[in-house]
Amino acid sequence: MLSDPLRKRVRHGLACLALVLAWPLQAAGPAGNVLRIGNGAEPQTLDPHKTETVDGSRIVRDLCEGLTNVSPTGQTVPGAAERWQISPDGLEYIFFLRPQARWSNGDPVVAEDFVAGLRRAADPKTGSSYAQMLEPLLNGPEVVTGKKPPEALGVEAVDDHTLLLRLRGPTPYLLGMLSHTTTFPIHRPSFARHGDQFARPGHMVCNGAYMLDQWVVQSHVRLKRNRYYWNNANTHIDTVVFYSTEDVNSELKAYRAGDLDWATGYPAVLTPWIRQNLKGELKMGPYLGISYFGYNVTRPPFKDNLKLRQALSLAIDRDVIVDKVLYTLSIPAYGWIPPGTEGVVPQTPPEAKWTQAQRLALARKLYAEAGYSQDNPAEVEIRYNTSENNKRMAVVVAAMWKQWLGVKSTLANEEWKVFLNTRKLKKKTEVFRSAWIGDYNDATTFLDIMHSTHGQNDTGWGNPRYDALLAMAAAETDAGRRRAMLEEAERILLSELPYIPLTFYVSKNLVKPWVKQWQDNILDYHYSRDMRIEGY
Amino acid sequence: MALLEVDNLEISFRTPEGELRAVNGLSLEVGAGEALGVVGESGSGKSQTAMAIMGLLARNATVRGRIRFDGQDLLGLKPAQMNRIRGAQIGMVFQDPMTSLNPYLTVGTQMAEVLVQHRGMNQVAGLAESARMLEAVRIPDAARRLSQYPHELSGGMRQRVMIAMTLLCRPRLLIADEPTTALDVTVQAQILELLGELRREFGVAVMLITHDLGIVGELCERTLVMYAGQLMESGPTAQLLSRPGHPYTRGLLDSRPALDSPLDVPLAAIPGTPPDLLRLPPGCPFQPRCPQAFEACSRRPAVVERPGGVLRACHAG
Amino acid sequence: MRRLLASIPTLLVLITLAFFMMRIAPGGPFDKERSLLPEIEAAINAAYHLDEPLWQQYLRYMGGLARGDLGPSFQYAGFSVTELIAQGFPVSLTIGLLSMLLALLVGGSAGIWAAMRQNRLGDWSVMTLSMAGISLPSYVIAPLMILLFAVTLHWLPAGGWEQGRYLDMLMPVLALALPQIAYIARLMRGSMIEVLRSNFIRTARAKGLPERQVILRHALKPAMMPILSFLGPTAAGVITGSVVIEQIFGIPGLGRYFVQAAINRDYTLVLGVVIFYGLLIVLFNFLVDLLYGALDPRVRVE
Repeated sequence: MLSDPLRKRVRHGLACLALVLAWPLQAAGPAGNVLRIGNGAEPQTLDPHKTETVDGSRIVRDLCEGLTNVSPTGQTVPGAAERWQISPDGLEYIFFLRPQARWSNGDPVVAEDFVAGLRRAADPKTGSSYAQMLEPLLNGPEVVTGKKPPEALGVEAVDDHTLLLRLRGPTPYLLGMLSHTTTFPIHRPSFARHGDQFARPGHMVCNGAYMLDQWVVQSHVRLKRNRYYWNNANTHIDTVVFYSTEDVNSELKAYRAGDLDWATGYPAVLTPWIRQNLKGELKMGPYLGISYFGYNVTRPPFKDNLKLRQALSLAIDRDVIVDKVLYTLSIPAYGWIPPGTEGVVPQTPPEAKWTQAQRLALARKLYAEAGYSQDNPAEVEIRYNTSENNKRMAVVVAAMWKQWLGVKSTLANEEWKVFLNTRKLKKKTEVFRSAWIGDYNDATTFLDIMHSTHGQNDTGWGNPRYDALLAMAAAETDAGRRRAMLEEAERILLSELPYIPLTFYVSKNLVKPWVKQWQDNILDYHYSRDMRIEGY
Repeated sequence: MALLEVDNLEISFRTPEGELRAVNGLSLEVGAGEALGVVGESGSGKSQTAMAIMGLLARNATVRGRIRFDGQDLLGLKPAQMNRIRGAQIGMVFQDPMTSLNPYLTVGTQMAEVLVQHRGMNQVAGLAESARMLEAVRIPDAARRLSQYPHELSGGMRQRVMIAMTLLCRPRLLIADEPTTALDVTVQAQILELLGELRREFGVAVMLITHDLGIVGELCERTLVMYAGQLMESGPTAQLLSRPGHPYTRGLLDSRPALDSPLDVPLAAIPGTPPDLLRLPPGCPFQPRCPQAFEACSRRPAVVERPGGVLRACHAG
Repeated sequence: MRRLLASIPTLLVLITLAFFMMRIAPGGPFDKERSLLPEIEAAINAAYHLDEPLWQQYLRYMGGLARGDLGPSFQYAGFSVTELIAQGFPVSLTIGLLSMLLALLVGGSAGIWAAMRQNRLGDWSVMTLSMAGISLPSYVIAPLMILLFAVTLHWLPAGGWEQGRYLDMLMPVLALALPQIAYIARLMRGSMIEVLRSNFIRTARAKGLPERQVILRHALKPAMMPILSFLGPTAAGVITGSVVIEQIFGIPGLGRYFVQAAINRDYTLVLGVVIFYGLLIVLFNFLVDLLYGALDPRVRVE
């Protein structure tokens, strides 16, 4: 048995050990009035007119503000403009800017800043990949392609706080579009001084709720409160840090360790575990995006072969894909426009409501009618860009086709840039993977890309009536008639099926319970100024 | 009591092939200030005897018997105790001067550390004493040599450095294991002469181990001849060289080529090969090769004292 | 000095090869899913001189290089390659150097310890552990460490780099050091065993020196030589950052650039880090040669 003094020492030792082990365990909680975000890939630029990635845009939306904002529930609300007037023919918008709005260095935000911003974004020399978004403006297409100078763009500063936008046609989604980073204003003296380098720490002057404090490339971007923001009184969080988290596994670990308050990504395969162990922290909602397989209709086997296209689409069990391949992080898609998109009621083809057995029966029938059988199977190539998820999707789809129809598939994967190239050339592709996330909340952001001349349309499909409907809708002022045209366009698309709809995206975020006032919305826009940290 | 007494030493090694008997019951004595030659061919166990005295045998060695130095039993000592004796009381010079000095350290460093370790001197004093010792071994320009590296010295000079290094602490006994084998003949003579002078100057006992019976005559009063780990014959060197009693000693002497031997007569060599130490026969180990072997030789001969201070282990004489 | 000058042609060949090989890969820095209008694409290409013939772009790049200008990064608009390297290198350097130091200390000691206990339990256990250390890949060990120390015990942050806080450095340095420790332990053990068989070690023992002094003063320097050969190129690789470690721990070092820049076809950034890496290898090989001379007097240039 231990002697008394020894026993005492053992007790002390154990107490110390317990203290040492327990001390750091109280680390679960906010780290002050700061929001720490696992932001995904490193933002390549914070220039509002050049940012193209979700991660970059997230930061820019906290730094700068457009004429309009998106409310937590996804509605368009006033931003830098407190109100507006729309002409009866829908071709002229007058925006009245908030007189008290300031840039982060105290300069007032004036209409000329917006004029400068829009002109710069549209100027081809800027090289913005979203310049096309500004085509609805008067002379938009000409400015964007360099045929006319930026000054010709239909935007004008009537006075310091009044901005006039002239459009080519009624554009019902214009107000929503004006919350997009491409339309943000620029601080002209900064731009004059630094040129394209104006979006760096030390240079950047912005008009949003936060300003740029520090950017350590590959590590983090730190924002701090902008006291000159017009609504600063209602901004609760003082500091926002966006961490660059390339590896989703590490991101999840950091979130679990309490180093992050909001994780934008995590390994999809752990979804069931997260649902069980991090109850209430997983936020999921419909998202403006579709994942699909495109058909190259310019060459066999899919050229002039509607029945084969339909058969292959019907034979896919989307419920299995959503459950097993995507871990319930998606919604099965049978149409083109995601549910919740404004401007239309998305089409639901009849097969969306059938059982898989019924779909399969029709698939087999169409397959046979197209001239294929067990002895004469269709041979199809599925091409995708190298990624674990894409591979699993392709393997599962190929397996379904093989098992239920007898189709022989080959899988081909290519590195991303190579894949994009191959898709565009349309010489090798048959079935190719693709996806599209909408730029703004209106059906046209989806319907446009299937226009016969759209650069995104790698199927090679075109339909004159479809193109015409889109053109007519762009000129239509009446909401009801416009809706009818767009819905007809979607129906044409679905009837000719130059693609296989797979799933609609779902936004997924992990948010700690002490982050309050979080709302899911279809654009997955979450401005830091709308949120607060519990206790601060 | 002699300075060094080795009593019935047995050294064997555990090898994967079996037990290798390197030394089989060897006894010898070295008196203070005396020079003993230990002669034998390769594998006779002479180097292992020296290593046993120094406590530097390999880990798989088993030692039996007794080694007493200045009355103290060496075999039972702990490593720390043996370290105090090695280098200070007993020094050893090795066969290959080219590789026996550390090429990465200067001569001075290697020498002075002996004094620092055993005499507690500081570096400066140690270097000074080392320079003096280098002069004693007839190395010119001693101070410069201290800052040189071994590869900057010739073979003969390196051996002198080795000798100087072992004498720094004025050991009572110096064991020289084939000190001249790797040197050319003229340098050989110089080194032997040096050893003789140093012995007189410092009063150190010398145990000179060699395979060459020819070099013991100069330096050693007494010589011991070994074969297969056993004593064959020992006695005053002059007697052994002029009137060898043991057939092996005679064979060794006969096989030495002389400058004036006729050119057309083949060299007289001892026929046969040394025995396999893993499987030693019970009798006299020289029996298979001995011209005078008879039945009695299948029993191991005892070491018998003969007139003139000679010890011999032979049934035939 | 001559050696250094002789490496300039090597570097030039390296740069030229890298330049043209990058261009062979299909796809360019500005290829995106969202296709650009031809006019905009033309404007971007003109701004970055991608519309010029290839040989002209090459000459333009080499000219800039002679002036010390590595060009702008294609992917990180607004940052120059020099800036990105200057930001990332100190981070990779810190972690790399610390891990090598740790590896030398721990691995070296373990190797010496194992050599002294050759073929006994101590030796066997060190060698087994080192085999494990070499076999376990860092992308297995690192997440496990995060899981244990950050998520479960909350002792350390799960990653990130808050201006070089020591806590942030602990796990990455350890994860990076582990395979090196293992390797150096094996090298040192083998080398030390060799050296301990030498005649001059026998002499050192015969002089009655304590075993510790025999090892440290007599055996260590010769035993270090093979490790130096190993360290030279390894150092260059380690201090330019490990892609895996930096990605998993979120360290803003150079390592990620090597892979990311190639995937993004950021030509200037790829060339920049390639040149940098090449320079470092040359430098470290030179340093190793110097160290050889410092250690082994027989090698020293007169």
